[in-house]
Amino acid sequence: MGNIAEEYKEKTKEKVEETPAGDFFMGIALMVLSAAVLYVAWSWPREGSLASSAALFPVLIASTLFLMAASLFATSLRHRGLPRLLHYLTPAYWRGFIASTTGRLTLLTLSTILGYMVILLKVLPFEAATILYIAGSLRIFWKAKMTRIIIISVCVTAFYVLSFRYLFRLELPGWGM
Amino acid sequence: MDAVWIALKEVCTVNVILLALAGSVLGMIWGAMPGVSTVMAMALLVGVTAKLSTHEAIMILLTIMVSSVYGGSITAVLINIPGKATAIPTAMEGYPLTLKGEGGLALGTTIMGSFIGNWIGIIAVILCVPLILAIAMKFGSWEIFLLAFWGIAICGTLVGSEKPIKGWISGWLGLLIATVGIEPIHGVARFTFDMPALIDGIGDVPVIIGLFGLAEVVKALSSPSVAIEVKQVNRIIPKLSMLKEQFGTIVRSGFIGLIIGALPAAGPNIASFLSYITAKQRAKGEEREKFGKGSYTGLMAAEVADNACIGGDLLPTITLGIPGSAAMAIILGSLNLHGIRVGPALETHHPGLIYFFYISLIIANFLMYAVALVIIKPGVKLFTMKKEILMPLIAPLCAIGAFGINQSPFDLYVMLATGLFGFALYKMRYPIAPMILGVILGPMADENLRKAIMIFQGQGATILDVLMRPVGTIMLLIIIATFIQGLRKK
Repeated sequence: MGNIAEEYKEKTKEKVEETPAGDFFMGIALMVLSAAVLYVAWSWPREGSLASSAALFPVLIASTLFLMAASLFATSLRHRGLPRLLHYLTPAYWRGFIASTTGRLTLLTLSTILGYMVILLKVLPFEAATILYIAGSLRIFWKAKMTRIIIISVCVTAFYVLSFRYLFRLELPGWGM
Repeated sequence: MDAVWIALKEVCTVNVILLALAGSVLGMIWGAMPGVSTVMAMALLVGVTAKLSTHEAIMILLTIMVSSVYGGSITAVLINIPGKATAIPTAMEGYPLTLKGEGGLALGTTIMGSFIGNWIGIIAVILCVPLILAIAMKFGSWEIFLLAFWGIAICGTLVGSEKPIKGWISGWLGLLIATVGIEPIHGVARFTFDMPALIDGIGDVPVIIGLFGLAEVVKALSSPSVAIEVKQVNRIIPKLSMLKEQFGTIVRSGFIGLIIGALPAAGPNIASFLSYITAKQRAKGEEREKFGKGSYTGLMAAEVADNACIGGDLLPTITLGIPGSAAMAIILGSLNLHGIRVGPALETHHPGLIYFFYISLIIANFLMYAVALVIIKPGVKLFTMKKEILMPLIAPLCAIGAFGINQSPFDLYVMLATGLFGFALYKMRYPIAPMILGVILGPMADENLRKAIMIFQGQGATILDVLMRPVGTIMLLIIIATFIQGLRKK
């Protein structure tokens, strides 16, 4: 099975990446998270022993998660996780990232989605927010003519409103939610 | 017979039939579109199923699942882009055939393989469910806890193939998410931080939509586009003689698909790879030479196993409440929305529901076959729609699905947060499926662990007494072996 996966990866020129910086970061974050879970769970009221209390499961999960995170952290140290993480935090890396196609696309994707769900849906009705979001995103990512984009945005939004609000009787998110 | 009759009556309603048809068409189109996976298609609609009856919800989700599992093969054969990992062997054999001008026949072979694979799964489900239910009825809380725990552990090991520890971490994070809210035994508020929105816990559905829907949208839009070239489609239906030649491959691949499908979340990608490599190893002479250059045997092996997996997936899902795949976890999430707890007592509490699953699968399979034959040729343009057009249209669906269940902005933000977290996890090479399994199975594992301990304490049982329970001890050994195997991979 491994041979086939390799063969395919070779065909698609896709390589398996090691992620020591991510492992270093996640190792620390998960150790902090599991320690916090243990601390909070320990403070819950319990009748009798821990074994049958509400804290048992979170304590069990958090303590084993801590061990896994520690193992991940140790592995990342062996693969120079810290220097690589520090490299990702330098202004030079970020300048390069923003200049790259992937970096630009990632930032544009995140900002359009956050803008839609956090801002537009809060201040506008669903219809207006969705037309604006779809039109904006199509303009950014597809780069087609504006008239085509507007027609698609209006038609798709109308389809969503008709099918979900009127057919499935779902409440749609938007201003006043 | 009463239960069968109840199930048949539920199927024969206009709504159920229309939803089955809609699910098949939608599943086929979504499955065929590169970048839209089976689970994503199901996740986007899971919120909507809250407004449907239980039977309608099962029917639409199963038809979407069956059709989209096949749909992924269309783009794999025509444009060498497997919509999902399961279709990689299909792309390896199907695309060379398309280049030779045999794309239509290659597609026909995949349709036939999927249809037969599904039938193998359906027959196995019908035969095995009563057997597994009879065994499962003897399970106590301890065994159910171990089963749920093993489900997450094995899923982490199999899905996190590069580093199983990442799969386990993902599953454990899901378990932690599941502990939020008022716990059912003592009524203690866990990790609610005095926020009313957290009292009922974090809903399964916003998490599912976030991880499988929004995260996929971000992933697809943030990567550069690939140029797509579509080849001509000629004759589709394969000759009967060809099916006769493939009989051995079909039986073997169906068996592989069933067994792999029954393992929690081990699902179709392992099955199609394993079945493909087995077919390659068993092929001799000229047939072996064809592998990698366009082999119908390779295609058939991958497709039969991929689809037989659906039946395999359904087995532990409806008998034990342990989802056999991420897609089945979504079906369980939808059933949770309807207040249905799947497990050994399902047929007692909801007569006819198991038979409804069988009938739905049969209908979904016939519809998949018909829809595939009808829409492949006219739909080629639609299947190859650019992700730059498709993905911005999907993000509002995520918002609708997450918000629609409780009309709660909190659910919308949970979906957004889990979507972005899922994207970050993808970047750091963490698998997502174990997390969903953790969220779904967490409450079951938690409740049964404590019930088991309380029972043991009440009986004054020692550790030795616990180890004397044969099923539990065998499962404990399997769990230990799963972790050891995972650690050795590292």
